[in-house]
Amino acid sequence: MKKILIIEDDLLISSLVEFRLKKDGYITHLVQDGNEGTKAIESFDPDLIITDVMMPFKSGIEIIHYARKNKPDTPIIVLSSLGEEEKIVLEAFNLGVADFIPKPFNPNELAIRVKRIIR
Amino acid sequence: MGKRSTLVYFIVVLFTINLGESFAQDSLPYRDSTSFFKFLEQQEEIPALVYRFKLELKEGSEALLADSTFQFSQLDNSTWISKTYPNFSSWYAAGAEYLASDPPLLQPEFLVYEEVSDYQATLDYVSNLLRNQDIFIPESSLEVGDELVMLANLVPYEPMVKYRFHFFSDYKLVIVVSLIVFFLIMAIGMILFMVVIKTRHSKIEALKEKYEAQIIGPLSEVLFEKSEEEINLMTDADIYAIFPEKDFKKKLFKEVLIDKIISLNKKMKGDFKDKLKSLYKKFKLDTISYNNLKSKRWDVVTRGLVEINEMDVVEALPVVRDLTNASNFYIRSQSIATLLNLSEKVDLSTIKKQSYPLSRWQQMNYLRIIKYLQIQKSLNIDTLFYGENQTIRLFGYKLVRMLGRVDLIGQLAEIAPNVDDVEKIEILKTYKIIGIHTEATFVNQCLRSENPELVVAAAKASGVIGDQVSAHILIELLNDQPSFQLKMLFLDNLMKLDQTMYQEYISKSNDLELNQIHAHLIDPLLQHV
Amino acid sequence: MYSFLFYFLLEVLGIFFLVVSFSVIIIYLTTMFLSALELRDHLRRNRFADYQDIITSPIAPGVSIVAPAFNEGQNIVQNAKSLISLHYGKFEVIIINDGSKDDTLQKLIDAFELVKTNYAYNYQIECKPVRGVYKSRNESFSKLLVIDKENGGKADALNAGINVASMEIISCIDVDCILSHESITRMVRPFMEETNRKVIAVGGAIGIANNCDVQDGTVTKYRIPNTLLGRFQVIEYFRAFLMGRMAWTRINGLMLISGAFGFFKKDLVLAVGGYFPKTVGEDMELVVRIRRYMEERKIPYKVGFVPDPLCWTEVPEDESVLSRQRNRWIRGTIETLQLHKVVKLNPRYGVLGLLSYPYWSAFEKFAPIVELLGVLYTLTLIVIGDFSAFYFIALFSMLYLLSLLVSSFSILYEQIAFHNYKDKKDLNKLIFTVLIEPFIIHPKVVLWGLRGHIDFIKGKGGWGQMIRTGFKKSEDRKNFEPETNA
Repeated sequence: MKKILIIEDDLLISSLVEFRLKKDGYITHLVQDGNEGTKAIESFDPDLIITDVMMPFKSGIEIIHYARKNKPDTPIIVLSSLGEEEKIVLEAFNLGVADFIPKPFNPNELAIRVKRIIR
Repeated sequence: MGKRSTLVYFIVVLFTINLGESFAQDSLPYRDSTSFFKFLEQQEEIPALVYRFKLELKEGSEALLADSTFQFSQLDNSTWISKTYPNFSSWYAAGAEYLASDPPLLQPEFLVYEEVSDYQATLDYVSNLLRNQDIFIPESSLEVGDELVMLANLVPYEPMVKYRFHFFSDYKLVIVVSLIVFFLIMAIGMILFMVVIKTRHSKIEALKEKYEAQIIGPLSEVLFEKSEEEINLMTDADIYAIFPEKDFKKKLFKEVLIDKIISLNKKMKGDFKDKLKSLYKKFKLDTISYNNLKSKRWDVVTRGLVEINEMDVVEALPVVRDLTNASNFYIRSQSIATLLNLSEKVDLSTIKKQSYPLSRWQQMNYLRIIKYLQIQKSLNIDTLFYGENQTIRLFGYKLVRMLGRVDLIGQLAEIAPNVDDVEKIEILKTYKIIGIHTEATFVNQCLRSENPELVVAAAKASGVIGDQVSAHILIELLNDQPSFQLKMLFLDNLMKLDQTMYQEYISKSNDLELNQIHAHLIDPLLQHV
Repeated sequence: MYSFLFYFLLEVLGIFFLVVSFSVIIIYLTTMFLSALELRDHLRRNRFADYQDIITSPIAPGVSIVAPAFNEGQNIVQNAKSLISLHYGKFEVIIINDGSKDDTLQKLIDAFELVKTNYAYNYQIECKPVRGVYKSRNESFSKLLVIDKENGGKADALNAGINVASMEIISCIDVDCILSHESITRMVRPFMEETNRKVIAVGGAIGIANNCDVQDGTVTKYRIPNTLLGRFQVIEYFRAFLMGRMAWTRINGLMLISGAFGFFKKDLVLAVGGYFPKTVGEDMELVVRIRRYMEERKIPYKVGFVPDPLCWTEVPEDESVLSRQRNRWIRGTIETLQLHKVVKLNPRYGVLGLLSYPYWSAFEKFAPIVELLGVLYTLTLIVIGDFSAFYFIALFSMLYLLSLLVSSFSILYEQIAFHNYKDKKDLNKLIFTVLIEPFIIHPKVVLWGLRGHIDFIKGKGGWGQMIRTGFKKSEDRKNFEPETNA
């Protein structure tokens, strides 16, 4: 059973994603802000991280930095609103995220990508 | 709740102040005849005020005439008066017995400056003395003895005029009290209002949170487990299986549901969007949106429009069309946006018909929609050129350049010479940005205009789309001693238009300003990109 | 005879104070009511706004941020960086080094790879000589423009910046303010919503940053300041921005836009000749002058206000600094009112002449004097043993209650509209401040105001005389020659 951490401040989206991933048999954990996110990276020890970019307290970029440093082997998928600055997207890719999914998105598509990455 | 306890504190303080008020309202030490007599007694002698008795001959009174202590003298047939007493106490001591008998044998008489004065006149006189501080209030406390009460009873009852309307005669008191009452009522009213609002607010918030938790799970399940066809086949019973019927029938529940569906719709893609729209109709939420359009509150109407726009409720379009000329800015702008999005065959005639000026905010929204629609629907942007008000025509010219519609330049060129200067400026901008070199003649006409703003716009365009003639006009304009800014603008565009003519002009002149501008224009760091 | 005069005076003053108290109550209650309405509408409007769109739309106006800096060496680089990273499409940042005596300019040059350009500076609005205009060699700082000039004060520096501003809207700010990323988009919106009335300026609310956590230009955690003086200002700012200015906005009578954060239409600022450097209240004076300009030409206009928390500043918690600030504020008010006394009660100037101006004269300018007189009056009554003293003590208590009501409501407004101060303990402390502030801090504010009056009367130099004469027309400012010696 693979564990997936979802860091996203929009409860609606994260619940939907969580629901979809649970259906595929993953263990999921949901947190709503950056601070909780870094804590959960330690305590929950996920096999995959799905994170938003714009969040309270810590930005997605900071989370990625943190995860790269402490869990360099955990793949990361970034969820982000379209129209977010290109600079941030580029920065995220440079930090070696596994995938980048712009909102609006299709949760089924996300599930497929998760499956591919986590295998 | 710190606020509530402070409130109680305010009210208590205010009432105490109020009471303290009414105790301290007069400055005279007597308020009725009893206390007045007590006061006279304590004063002993009062300047120019004396007391005596009057005797009317009747049964039993003759004997008194013989009493030498009174030293009666006859006033007329039946009336006798006693000697005068300067001291109230001795006067009273002498006659108390007869004053109190039934019927009284003696009548009291007060003389002020040797004139008989009635009770009121005496009172006024003493009060006056007091006020002028000719006599003083004795320090000992007033204690009204029985005898005095009896004495007072002799005076026929008559309320003291001065105090009869005391409350109203003291205007300060009236104002202060009404102020306080007014303030109190307003303050309590406002506080009550706020408390009501706040409790309602938090109740609704709590309910919303509860409903939200109830909605998210089942909604996700439907979205993932059911296909669009299955959703369309759902019955009421199916719905109540997902959401408790009791809650589902509540207005607030549906509002939260609408909110969730719409925000999901914004963030989801593909078949999810379709499923959400089917669910919206299945839950009959579209009727709520539709009814919102009829509300009196502009924000409710606008919300309805947003919902209709997001969820493609095409049935509502006739009503939406009626709202496009609403006086409220938000209704107006959102209804047009909705119309643009949802109509089968859209042209921009709804915008064209607007009688209100088109704000930039609206232009921005419409531009976004138009950009998106351009691919799907044919838009007749050129109808805007003939719009009823200027802002709409200007928007039309702007759209030509923002969408890069070179095909409409021909039409623009036709109307350009006949429109007013503000519109010419906008058209020049469009020519310049798309790079329409065929319109140099128009640019040159504008360069010759009397309107400085039009000249500026034309000069800016001339650098890009001007011709040899423009260059010559620019030099003419430069020779007319323009202001520093204009000079810089003309030179800048001359340089862009014709390097050699520019160099020639610069080299001929040794104007200090010109050199400054030249240095600026060739500084690579100051080139605007 | 003397005693008659004395009592007559007491009587007249008595009536006067009753009238004043009555008006104060009416005005505050009306203010509360109007601001509540405006705040409600603002929140409703906000629900329908997509601010994301403004950032990239070609229809959105360009903004020139003009920020004067005087001896800001310590933080200038950080401040400039956060300014150029604001989220907006078309904008430039103009920092004016107003003859700093420290290394402000050098710090900027080093940090942003600035080079002196051959900028052909045009003194469209008079200002002190400009020594140089700098730009960066580095493309990523292309939005930044730095002007180095001789010292001339804040208004003069702003004018120097406005002369080079190339965008349609200028935003005059204090360089040490913390601006939210969203600040430009939100402040530009009222300009974009203009339909029938020209939007001449938009003011913003100022928040207090003391003791708050700041991250990437946004306050992430709100805490109230530690000192009573700081907390008092938190409440005062709520009152001023969420109540006062909201209410004035409702009736389009706003006369003051805070100098720390205000947006103006550039063409109008140029048309009236920019800031007037001879007053300490240059921010208020400019708004009044532009309003006059519009009224004199009978062009329908509007002054907007955005109460959203977008700009934060450190306020002085030190008594002497605060006293100087307040002294300056009241002098600024007096000077502005003097300069524009033609407007007073003149129906030609609409709301400005009939409501805003009289309000500012009666309740802002003369407030300290009236309050002092009121206290003296009551004391006199007590000393001579006049029992009507009690009325006035009652009146005072009521005014105290009114101040409690107004302050608590302003806190309530903040809680309903933004709910930024989340800690319950902080709220309790604020309520406590509300209770004691009228006794402990308010008298000091009155005293500082009185000193401001005294300093104004003493007035130094020939400009004092000119200010007393006032502007006959709104463009008269242009006829004032610049000072030749400092």
